[in-house]
Amino acid sequence: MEDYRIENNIRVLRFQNGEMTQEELARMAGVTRQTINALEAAKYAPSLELAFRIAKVFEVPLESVFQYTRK
Amino acid sequence: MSRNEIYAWSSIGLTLAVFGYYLVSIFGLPAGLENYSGQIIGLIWKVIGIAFLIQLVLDLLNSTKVGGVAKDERDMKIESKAFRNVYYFLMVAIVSLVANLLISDYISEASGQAHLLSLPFMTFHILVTILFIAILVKSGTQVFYYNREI
Repeated sequence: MEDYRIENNIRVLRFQNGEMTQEELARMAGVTRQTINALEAAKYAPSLELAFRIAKVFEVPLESVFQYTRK
Repeated sequence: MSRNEIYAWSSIGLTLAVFGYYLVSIFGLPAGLENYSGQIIGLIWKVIGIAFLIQLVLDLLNSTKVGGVAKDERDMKIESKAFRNVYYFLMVAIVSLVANLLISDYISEASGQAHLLSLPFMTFHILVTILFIAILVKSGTQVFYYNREI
């Protein structure tokens, strides 16, 4: 099986949404700022529920935030 | 650094200090350090006090929900890995202790002399040591995973 990883555009989307801070996104998604930081650094793969919550904050489809790409 | 990571660090400090105090009170200070006993005990109490205060403040913050979510799914995932490692450690430690006790008892009966490790007070000290190490394994695992990919 080939190696895949979950990548995301959270940092880009934050800046496209009025330069939203990690703290603001964390509050809206119901997680800690450190988790948003870990997500942006691709050090943490979120649960499906958190992925949907983040997509909902930005009001975009899930695949616009997260991509399942080959390493 | 998240609150849970700070909590894990303070837990390591607190456990090491309490364990250090325990060892000093049981076995005494190593040779050559007797003259510094006041300073060493003072340092241990300072670490215990500071770590306790940090944990108290964090518990108060978490109970009031000031500053956002106290614990999220990443914290819980890291905590579950920590508990898993503690479980593995405890299983190996307890099984080894029981096996050691059985072997020591056998040797004691065969030789007619009480083996040090089969004495109840020694078993108690080993169990206390296992407890401290288990707490360190938990907090250490948490600190480890807070600083790397999970």
